[in-house]
Amino acid sequence: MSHHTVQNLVVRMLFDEAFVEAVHADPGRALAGLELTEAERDQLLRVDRRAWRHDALRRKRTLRTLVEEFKVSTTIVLAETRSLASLEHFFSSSFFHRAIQERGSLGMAFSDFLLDGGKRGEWKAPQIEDVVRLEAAIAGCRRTLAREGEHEAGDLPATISDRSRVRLAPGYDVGAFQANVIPAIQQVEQYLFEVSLMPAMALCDDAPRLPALPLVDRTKKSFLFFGPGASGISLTNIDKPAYLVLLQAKRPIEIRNLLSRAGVAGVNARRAQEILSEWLENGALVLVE
Amino acid sequence: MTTFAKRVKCLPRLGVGLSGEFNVAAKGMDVSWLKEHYPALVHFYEYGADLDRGLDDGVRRWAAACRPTTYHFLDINLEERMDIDRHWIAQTKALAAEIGATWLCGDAGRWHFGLRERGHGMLMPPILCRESAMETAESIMRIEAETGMFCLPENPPAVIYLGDLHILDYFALVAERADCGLLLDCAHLAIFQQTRDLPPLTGLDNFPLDRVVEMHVAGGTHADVEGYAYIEDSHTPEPLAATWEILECVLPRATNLRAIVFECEQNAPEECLAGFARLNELFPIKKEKANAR
Repeated sequence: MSHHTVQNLVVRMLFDEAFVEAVHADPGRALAGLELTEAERDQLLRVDRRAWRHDALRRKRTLRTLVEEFKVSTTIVLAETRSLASLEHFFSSSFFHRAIQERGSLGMAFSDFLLDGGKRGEWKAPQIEDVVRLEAAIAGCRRTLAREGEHEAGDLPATISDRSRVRLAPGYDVGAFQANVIPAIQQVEQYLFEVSLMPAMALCDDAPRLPALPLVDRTKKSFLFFGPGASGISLTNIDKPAYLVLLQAKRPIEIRNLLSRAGVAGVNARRAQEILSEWLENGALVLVE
Repeated sequence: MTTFAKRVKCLPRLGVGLSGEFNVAAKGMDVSWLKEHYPALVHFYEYGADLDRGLDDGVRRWAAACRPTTYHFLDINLEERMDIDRHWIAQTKALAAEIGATWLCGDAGRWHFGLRERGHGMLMPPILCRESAMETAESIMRIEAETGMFCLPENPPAVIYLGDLHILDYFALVAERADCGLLLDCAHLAIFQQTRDLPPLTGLDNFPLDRVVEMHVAGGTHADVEGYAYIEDSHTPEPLAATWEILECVLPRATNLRAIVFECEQNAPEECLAGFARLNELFPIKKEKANAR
């Protein structure tokens, strides 16, 4: 279906001027591997290059939407780089282009871009990795919830075989983070609230700056449970055994395998059974048909 | 299923209407206010909706007064088969039913790239080729079959159109294959003709005008980027001359036309009264009156 390929290319070219230049400089290389007819390739090349730039605010509008989901991560990045271009570079990254060409999620591609920037040392704040992972977990929950709909906890069968499969219900997730991730997030949110009172204050030399964030503490872990709440995805602290049991159910798994893996991870067998029952009853775990 | 020619006879004449979107009354026109103050100018409300935002109080109030509506979708890629899912169809049908919409309509092409997710929204025209037209037709047939409603594809605006077909030939193919009605946006057609450096009426002679059930009229603005000229679909109060020319050429030949929407809801009502008056002159709510003249 090459018209789909062309549409994906149009999106990439509308967002990324560097890609437009690459397509014109060496079409064979820039468009390699894509299912395109000669005529479609010629049509793309015949478009006046200036036309691709007609919407000067396109990147910023999209960035605003992405930043809404990753507001703490992006604040940390911007506080460090003091460069909007550091985030706009997303639209020229392989993460963006792959997401478009493969019909992936832009939001999740953006989280990969932020994580990659941290790994490559483009932003060095030690808090960034866990903050991105946490915001990505929330973004992921929103998407599964929107895609699959909320699961309503119903009556469970009287007996459940250990060969039955379970998984986390749509919109639920768990994660382990460095101990100070929540205080760091709260501090950034407090800063964002302050500047939101008068956004133009960002222009002032004496505008509030992001204060130093709580140090990363990897000696302790914060185990978090994500689930649909009254106003979006809410976070709850859980204990380590509950985290280790629920972690196994990120994908469908037979109960006997879940219990076995939890045991290997150090969870007492009886406690694992209790956790399994509790979370099946409250609807965070569901039986998979 | 009966043919379009038979089905269209059951559609009521809606006259001239106003477009609107979620919470538009907060920053633009409130259709109920307009109806109350200028009852002869606006006769129906075309509500632009997506499943994320749903209906607003303005359209609910209008519909509660048993006034006619149409449902303009803003969140489906007709050109992309895999975007049409049972959930979207069911939810859209439910929203349209809630406001008593006479039909569904919307720009054919893409409302988002890839997934229907936040950040993916961007209106794009279809690739103007036969393969895409067939896929669009298939989507329309499915939506009409599963909702039991007319689904009128609209020619979208753009600065860049790709494909070897003229946009009117593309939509003629869609209509023939799907045996559906059409929504002809005169302002968008003027934009297309400008991008191809063609006179405004090019392609209309061979276009199946008897399938045009609804037309749109809106203001446009000449703009340029580094000297590259294009028309922005700005929905300002004054339509371009080319838009009026297209409308006036099509009107006498659009034998099944039921509605004209003036897309001007973001402006002050007073700025748009002349446009509404002219449209009502051209397309009165009561056909008999028109014939009598």
